[in-house]
Amino acid sequence: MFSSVSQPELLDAFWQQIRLGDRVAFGQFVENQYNRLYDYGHRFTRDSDLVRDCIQDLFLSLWEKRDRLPDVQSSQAYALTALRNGILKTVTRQPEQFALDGVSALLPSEPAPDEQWMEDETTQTNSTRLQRLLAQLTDRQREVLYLKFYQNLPHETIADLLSMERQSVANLLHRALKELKHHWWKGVGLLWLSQV
Amino acid sequence: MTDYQTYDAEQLATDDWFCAWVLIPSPDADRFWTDWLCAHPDRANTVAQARRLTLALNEHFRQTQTLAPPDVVRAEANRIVELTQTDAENDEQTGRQIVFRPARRWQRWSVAASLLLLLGAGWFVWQSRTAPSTDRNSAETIAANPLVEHVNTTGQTASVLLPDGSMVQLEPGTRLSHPTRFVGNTRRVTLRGDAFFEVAHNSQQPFLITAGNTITRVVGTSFRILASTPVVTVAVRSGKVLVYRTDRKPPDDQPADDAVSLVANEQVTLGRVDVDARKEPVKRPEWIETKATQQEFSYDDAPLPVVLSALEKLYGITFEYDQTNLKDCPITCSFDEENFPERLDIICKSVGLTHEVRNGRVVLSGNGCH
Repeated sequence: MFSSVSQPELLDAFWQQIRLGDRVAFGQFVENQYNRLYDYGHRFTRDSDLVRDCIQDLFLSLWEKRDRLPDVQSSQAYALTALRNGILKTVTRQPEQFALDGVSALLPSEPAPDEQWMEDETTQTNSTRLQRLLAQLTDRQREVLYLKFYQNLPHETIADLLSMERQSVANLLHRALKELKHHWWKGVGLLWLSQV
Repeated sequence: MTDYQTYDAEQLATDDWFCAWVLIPSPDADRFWTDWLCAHPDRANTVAQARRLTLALNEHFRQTQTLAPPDVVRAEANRIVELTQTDAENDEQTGRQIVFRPARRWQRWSVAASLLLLLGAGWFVWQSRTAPSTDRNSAETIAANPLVEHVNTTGQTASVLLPDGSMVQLEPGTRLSHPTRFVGNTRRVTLRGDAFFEVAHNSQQPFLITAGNTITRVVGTSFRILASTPVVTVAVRSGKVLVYRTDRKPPDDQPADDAVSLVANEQVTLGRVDVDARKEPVKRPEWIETKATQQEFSYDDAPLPVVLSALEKLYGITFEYDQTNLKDCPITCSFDEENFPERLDIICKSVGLTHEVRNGRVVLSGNGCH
């Protein structure tokens, strides 16, 4: 869990300082936001240098645009959008990386056959089970779940980021969760899901 | 008020307030959802399912996350901040940056003769740079009261004198920013790194330091803040200090209800994640020691310039005053726990002088001694 999402007021305080030209606050803001962007970037590509470059570019333009972004929400939305566009633009130009595009990298590669054989239902972790279920969803559903439950973004920000309506985000999330729950219910997760 | 009674598990799981409760527990959210569950026992199963969904998804994405290690993040952040300074040099309008750099050899020799006393405290050449500001709403206030940023790039402690007479000793690699003048109800500064503060007493204008995820609030005291990492430690030498996490309370002028109150020889460490702050005795005595606290400072009927140059040497600062008028003023003082602003006050009062900070120097004025 990113601490940054638990600290909206802190980040807003930083952002207001940044708007005044406070580079010390900007440094802390970059540090605070860095890994959430780093992870998001890696959901599209495994090229860490590319992610690093994109993050640098977006922070520099964020600094230049700071007077046009009134609050920290708008700055975060700007950062995530710039990163997404920056990476997808580059990745599309390089065909060998195209396979990892579209959040298919949200899922690590399937476990090797050996491991699969070793793992019976009882030793499987919840995460592995969940991974299988997530694999049945669309890229967009997976991304929206990631943005909600990892990045902890409000519906509005997700909507802006993916150029969708707020209601469509709500619907997409609802449907994705319903499918997950449905499959889980059928499987071994029944007991687990009803545990408090 | 949202009518959560009609929500199914999927709707609950994606509700911001519900998510916040599950993923980032807080007393407020706990109270709300416990009360709500008591009032709606029939929804217990739905809530449990929504909780499980939220936790499982969060857990899954965390297990597959790709994070850069903290030192890499720090280095990248520093690099990015440095890059913003290239264009900063073109803007003459607002703000400035003061960089403490290691002195070059030839500079050292040329100045050493006249400023020998400064060498003891470590001396620094400073450069001033401007910071751009394009914020139209606050352009006027910034132009009138630009931010000053100090960066200590030397290998030694560097002293910064704040406009109110407060003294901050920056450890190597530390950054501090503050407005040129403290106006309004508070004195606010931002810190990144480690520093020892000696804050001038002013109960009308509390002094607030934002560092990492914490705000430290004082009216006048001395203490150290270690904020090189997101885990911030505040160790108090004298006086009373309030420390609170900024995520628990909007950043206004009032301290949070759960602020930790520290007195001399106490410290608190506030972590990045939601861990309760524990007050404890200062772990390492050197955290609350400085050159000034370790050295005896006692004078009996000594001329003012002697006492002032001793202070200059001790703190690495410069006084400006009328030598001819004030050179014979006798000073008797003995300092121990007094911090810099207190020492300055006592000396000035004893000979009827006033002091103010101009361009990082202490300017003394008065009509000679009584």
